[in-house]
Amino acid sequence: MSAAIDLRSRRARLALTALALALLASLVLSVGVGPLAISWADSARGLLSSLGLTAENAVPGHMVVIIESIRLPRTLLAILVGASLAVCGAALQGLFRNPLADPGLIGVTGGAALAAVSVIVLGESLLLGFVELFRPYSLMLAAFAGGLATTLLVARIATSRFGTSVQMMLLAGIAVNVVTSAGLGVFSFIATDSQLRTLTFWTMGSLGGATWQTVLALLPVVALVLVWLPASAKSLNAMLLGESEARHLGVDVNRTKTKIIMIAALGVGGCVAVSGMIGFVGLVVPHLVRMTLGPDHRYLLPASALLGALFLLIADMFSRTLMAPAEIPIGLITAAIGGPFFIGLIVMRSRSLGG
Amino acid sequence: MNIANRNITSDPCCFSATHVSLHIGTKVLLDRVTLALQPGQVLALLGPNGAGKSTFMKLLAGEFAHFAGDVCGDVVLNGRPWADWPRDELARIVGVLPQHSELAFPFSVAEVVALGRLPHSTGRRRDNEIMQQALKKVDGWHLRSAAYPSLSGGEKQRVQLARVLAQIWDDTGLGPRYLLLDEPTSALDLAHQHQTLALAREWAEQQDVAVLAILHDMNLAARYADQVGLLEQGRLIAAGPVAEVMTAERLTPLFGIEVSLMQHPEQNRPLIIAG
Repeated sequence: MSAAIDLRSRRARLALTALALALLASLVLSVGVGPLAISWADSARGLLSSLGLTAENAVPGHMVVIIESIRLPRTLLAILVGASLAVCGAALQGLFRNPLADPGLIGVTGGAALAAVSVIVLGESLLLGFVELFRPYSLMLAAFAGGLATTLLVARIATSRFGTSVQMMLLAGIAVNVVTSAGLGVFSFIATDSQLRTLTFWTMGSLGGATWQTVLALLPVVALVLVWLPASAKSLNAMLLGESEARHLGVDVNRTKTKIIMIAALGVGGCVAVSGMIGFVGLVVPHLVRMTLGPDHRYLLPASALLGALFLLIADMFSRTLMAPAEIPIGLITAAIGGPFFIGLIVMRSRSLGG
Repeated sequence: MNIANRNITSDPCCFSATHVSLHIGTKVLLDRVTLALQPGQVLALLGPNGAGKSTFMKLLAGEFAHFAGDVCGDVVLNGRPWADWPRDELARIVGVLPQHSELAFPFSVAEVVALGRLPHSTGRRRDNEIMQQALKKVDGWHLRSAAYPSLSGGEKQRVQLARVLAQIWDDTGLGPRYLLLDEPTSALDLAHQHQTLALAREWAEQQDVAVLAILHDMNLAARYADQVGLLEQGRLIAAGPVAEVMTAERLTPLFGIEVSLMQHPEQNRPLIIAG
């Protein structure tokens, strides 16, 4: 038996359990945080009674209402968005064999954002038909379509008869991002004042729009992402060796690529539609997991999902409380927490490697 | 080979390329090459840079599978046309050692070697055993917990060899197995160059594996190969047993450098002196 491999898998299982417990605790905490503070015990009791597990009158009625209609959907949305962004980031990084391949970097986020913004700004004029046709899902559909379209465009630019070049893909992603941000600029220029306000908050990312409807709309998307991407874990491991090597190990490289790009576009597009542009989660979370658990996707993907959910949930608590009653857009919080942390880690790493 | 031969089923026991050509644009990379790998034998492929050695190996490895228009000729593996082999079965009998590896993620050495077991479903226990034995074979067991990207070039090459050996470790009932090595010794020190090729020989003799190795060192080829193929500008100019193929008359013009041969003082093989 190999001690090296067994040690890593034992550590991974331990980390997954710890993350799951931390997430559960943060969920209870998150439900209690806000203008009306609810204690841990009351939050837990309130949640249990919502599930029908304890007596009706365990907590005051107004608390149950706040928990059920405001804080729980928001908390769940943070979990779904965080898990989805992190796991999509991890899978794309594996696919492109580049730890810097972030959904934002290769154009998925930008394309999704541009399409969603066009629906916000033109929803009452040019795109009225589209919005009425798909009413509750129009934003999400547009974001998915936009994310997918840019991803496919980037993939197409980067693919020659010799296969897909990672460098070309990153370059094409940068070019696409320039175009989409120009498009976003145009839309914010022609937007009305009230649209502009929505748009600004939305480009900075916010979970403020959370309702049960958005949670239920996003749930199937995230479920798909969390089931399908980890199913490709072994193929992704082989892809890290190189595409030819993966092919020699029996992996259907082209199918794996298409599948992961489609699912990641769906996952990121869905998140962008409900919460705007929340950067950084897909870049930093997988990186942190890789540093502690190694690059094996069988552990990396589930651990990234859990840590991503935890990260966004904590960020959202800061977003709600730091300047209460005002809310700081969560995209700014993720960048403010994650950026310096990431820089610190890179410095530490280069020191420990470079000596 | 004449037309009549083409209808006869190929030898069920080898990996053969018949009249394969590969064009990219107007450039001819391979020109009607016919060569077969025989189980139990080591075949060394020699030739100057750009002669098509790696291209030929990539063709056998299926790298040009999507090039249908530009590739012609037949590649038959264990009696079945290459294209008829399911990908996962192919991966259980053909192991390919690339010249370079781009792995930059911090897998441990043990994990890299264990990736070779991906095409198999032999269970965790057996996979770990094979990983361990493969790593010991290449003299890399002491590296098992090291992060792969931190290894030296030669260590990486040995670890990759262990991964490929782990991939074709057992006979899986699909016929003879094949080991394709693209310059397996390029980054190795003298002792490990010999160790690697001795390992290839051992696998050929004891496991009945067919080995194809692209080599630059003619003395290594003469020492460890049974057969030698010489490639020049995409054409196979000679193939056969070492003593027959490796002659000064062929090697001197092929490499554009004066080559002389003499009998090795201790071993029954030619000693090649270049320059």
